[in-house]
Amino acid sequence: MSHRPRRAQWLLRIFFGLFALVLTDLPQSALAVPSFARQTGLACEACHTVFPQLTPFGRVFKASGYTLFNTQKVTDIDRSKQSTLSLSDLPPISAMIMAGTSDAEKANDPNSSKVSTDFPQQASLFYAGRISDNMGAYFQLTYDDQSGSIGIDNTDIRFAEVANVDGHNVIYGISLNNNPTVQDLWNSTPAWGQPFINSPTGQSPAIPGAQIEGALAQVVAGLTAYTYIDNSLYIEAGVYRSALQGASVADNGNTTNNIISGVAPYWRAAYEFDWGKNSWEFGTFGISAPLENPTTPAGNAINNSLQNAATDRFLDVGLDSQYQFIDDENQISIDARWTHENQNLEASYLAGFATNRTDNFDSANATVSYYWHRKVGASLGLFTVSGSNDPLYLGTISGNSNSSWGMAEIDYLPWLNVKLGLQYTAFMRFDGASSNYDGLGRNASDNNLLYGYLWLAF
Amino acid sequence: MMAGGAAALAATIAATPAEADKMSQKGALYQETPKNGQQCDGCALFKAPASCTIVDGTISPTGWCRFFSKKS
Repeated sequence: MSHRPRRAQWLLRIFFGLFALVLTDLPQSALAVPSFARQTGLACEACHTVFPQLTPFGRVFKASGYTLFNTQKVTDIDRSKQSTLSLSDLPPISAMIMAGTSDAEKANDPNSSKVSTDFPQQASLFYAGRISDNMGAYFQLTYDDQSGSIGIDNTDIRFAEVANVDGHNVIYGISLNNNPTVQDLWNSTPAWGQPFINSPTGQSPAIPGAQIEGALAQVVAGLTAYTYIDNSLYIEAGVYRSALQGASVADNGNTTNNIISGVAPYWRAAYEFDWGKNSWEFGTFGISAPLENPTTPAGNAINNSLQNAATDRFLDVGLDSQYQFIDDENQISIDARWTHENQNLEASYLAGFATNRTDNFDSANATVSYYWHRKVGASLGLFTVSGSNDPLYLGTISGNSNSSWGMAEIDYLPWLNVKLGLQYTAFMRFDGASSNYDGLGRNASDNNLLYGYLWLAF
Repeated sequence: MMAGGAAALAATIAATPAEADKMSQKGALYQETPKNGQQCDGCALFKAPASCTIVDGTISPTGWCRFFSKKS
């Protein structure tokens, strides 16, 4: 009896203690990639609303080749006083860990668990910082718990210069990267777009996105040239070639798949308006990717000689837009993207893996997110994919992969480099149907998923 | 000859020890006048009376550079 009031007092103290922890300004000293923060001497909010979303200043930092610095460095000059070395005194090394647990509405198959825990879901090491006065790199090495292996993740090595041209501030440079749009400055394009994190065990439609929305990530090498004028107009163009990891097109090329024939041209143009605490960007992006020895969403693969392989040609054209409101108390972001893909499936059709010679595919999404003091936030996103009916190519009962889903998330950041999130995904339609989409009685809502995660960088 | 060569090599290899440094005014496209209504004393990186967190040298409150970041 006498213990109850004391226990209640302790519970109240713990509750208010945690509440105070949420409201108090704790030391905040890191960035999405903390080595950038160590290099610039600036806290996270200079470059991010909440990681990984960039602010206008973050976009300038990235376009400038990650070279801005504000720390001690080691330098050298040659006999003509030209700089030959400009190394940061601190090695630009960072680490990142993601961990999570997922609970699906229904297990993916009768023999599996509906609950899955991933620790670490992903663990990464970064070299992220300046290399010289005009060069910098974002290089990520990642352990993935689903494959149980370590591999190259997103990489962006840049050369950048700046000039005053007739009163205009002109940044120009070159990016060598391995994922189309990983070099982009806005969070409305695929590589850094919403959702920033999701469960590795969640179900995806037959075609979750266009080629530029992840299919080419980390299996290509691209060289692009860009300019960013008056921190508003951005223009970029370049080409990508296949650069496989763990396989080679130089030996036994017929065992490799989805190899870009020649080069895949890439383009990007965007314009950002800035006024007061607001910014609004709209733009276009795209890639034309002819793929030799393609695989199909149904799981079929062509394995011919790369010397005379037929190709499936994908032309992706995207539109994107991003709005941001940023002040000390409130941070609002709206990211939207629509991508249309024209699929010329000549190779798959001739191999008997496609019903049609040409198909179309569209994906669209929009997410609005709000953060209070960069500490507590919520986001709501809607996603949809749709396309042609092609039973052979897609391998779905309905013959298409039309799907739509919503995603709601709440986040808490005790520190700017630590994020705790709870995310719920609800499918309204999956692979062309809301019920019995696989012919075995599985409904779209059976793929609904509750996912809790911890994401930290240091 | 050998000693001189070795000395030259040593001078090349021995980089200048860590020095405190910031972005040069040229690299930041710094100018001593405002631009499009933006000026340094309205920037989050400006440190009164006349310096900047990231740009080297004396900074005018009415100056401007390409890293202008509006105070929130």
